[in-house]
Amino acid sequence: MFTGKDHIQAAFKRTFTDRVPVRIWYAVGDGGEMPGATRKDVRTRGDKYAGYILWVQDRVRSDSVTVAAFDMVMPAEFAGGELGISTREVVDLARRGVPLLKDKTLFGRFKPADLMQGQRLPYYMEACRLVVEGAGDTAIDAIITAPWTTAALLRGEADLIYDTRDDPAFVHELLRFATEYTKTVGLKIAETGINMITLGDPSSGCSVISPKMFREWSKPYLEEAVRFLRENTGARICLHVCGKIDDILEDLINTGVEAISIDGPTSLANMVDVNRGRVVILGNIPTELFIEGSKEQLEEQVRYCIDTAAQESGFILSSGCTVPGTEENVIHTIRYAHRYGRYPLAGLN
Amino acid sequence: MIFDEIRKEVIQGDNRKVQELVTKALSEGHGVQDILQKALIGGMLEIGEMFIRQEAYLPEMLFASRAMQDGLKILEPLLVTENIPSGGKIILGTVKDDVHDIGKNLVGMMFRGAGFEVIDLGVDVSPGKFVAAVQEHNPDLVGMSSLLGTTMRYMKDTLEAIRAEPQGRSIKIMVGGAIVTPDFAAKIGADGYAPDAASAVIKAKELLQEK
Repeated sequence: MFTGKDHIQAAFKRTFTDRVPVRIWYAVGDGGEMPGATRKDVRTRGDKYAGYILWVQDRVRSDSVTVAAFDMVMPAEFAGGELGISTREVVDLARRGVPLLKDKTLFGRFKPADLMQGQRLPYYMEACRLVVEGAGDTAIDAIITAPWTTAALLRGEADLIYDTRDDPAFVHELLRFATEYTKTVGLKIAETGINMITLGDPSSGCSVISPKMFREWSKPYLEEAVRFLRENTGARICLHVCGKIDDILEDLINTGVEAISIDGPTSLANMVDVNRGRVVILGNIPTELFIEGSKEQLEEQVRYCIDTAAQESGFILSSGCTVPGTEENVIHTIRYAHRYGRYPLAGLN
Repeated sequence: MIFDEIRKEVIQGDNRKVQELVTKALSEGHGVQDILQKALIGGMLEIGEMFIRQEAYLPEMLFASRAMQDGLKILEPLLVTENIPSGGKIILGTVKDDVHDIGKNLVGMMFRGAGFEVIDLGVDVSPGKFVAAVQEHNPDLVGMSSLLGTTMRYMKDTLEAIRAEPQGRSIKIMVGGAIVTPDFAAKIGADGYAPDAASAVIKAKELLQEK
């Protein structure tokens, strides 16, 4: 009997278990309200967040579960105590869509601080530790923000793009800060015993910046973070970029990551062709189908993904991005994928 | 020809050169409407077409939009005195829990450039806020955007809330965003979908002609 961790590890080792690995991403709150905890509890208490993940996983049974250590407060905490801005104010700014560095002169007061003295990293680390304890037979993934996306969260995507032309020295400084942030968070999160770190980089996709801009501004810092995390942690390093990324697939593969998770708009067939077995591919059932799609549409996508990418090991069937849909659709998709993805693959024989 | 130069600099996204050239065009006696339509909007339409053909990306659109807006700032005082009719009124916002506004802002700039009155509700706009804005402004169109899979469901909630209002039944509703598809737009009952900012204006004009 294989465990979820066995299935995921087989993809990385290019071996086989008895079926294709299946991972569906759940976002906080989308599995419904957990009895005994409010959504605020889940977002602020590590034990409640871990409890929530395990509560959902108990019914869903994905081969991998995810702790999403992805927020706007943690980079602000890393910026240090001399900002003169409280956590509550940072949260309020985030809610209104106002980036912390709307006024970029504030960057002069950034002095990297010990994140363990803040609130967010200890919260995520507690959640990771408890999920590792409670779901040890499942592969455990933590998403952290990659450098360009961290910089975009701090400065705002549009202003960061304008800055590349108006004030390139500032962008490099900000990216150096953001890279240190990614490395620091990844290193500490890996100490909890999780199996995989996913660098979430939605602001690096072709829906936001051009391939040229990615190569010039995002990729060098991403490569540095990947290299550091591969050398200094035992975790597998994965990359997820939202939206369409067909034009930068080769660049992403060359960053040194071991796995790339692609979103619904990117062509899985193209990814398989470009990749030629170099990295593990995770993807890419369109997330919107989990909201408005029928069971037949989800089954069709499961068949398409497996037929397209699972001929060899090194493929994990996954939702394209975090799933907003009903638990019923998620459970149906996973159960169907378990049947359709059983080796030898029926669709291929 | 100075209009060609302005168009070229809009496409290059050089806002300072655009401002210089617009000032020069005025001093040479060119009409405000001609500068706006043939030079500034002409340049934006050209970069918009390049974007649709996937020859340009969002940053090029952003730089071009900024250049156009900066050129427009010089013309605005003169445009007001000419009393140009509005192309229509649109309310824009990213849906509840979504703070990714780069695409929405670009759409707003394109609509302003095309002569629409734009009421931008900002980010993380709840269905109730959209409804309140519809009641207050009585727009021709509502445009919603979402980047994230976790927030796109609020498009449906917002659309239903607007449609539940008597005032909202005749308003055209458009959706867009990196993760939104034409199928999704049709399923939730939106009147229109556009994959990018340039197409959004074209689609909006089509929808308004149907009204």
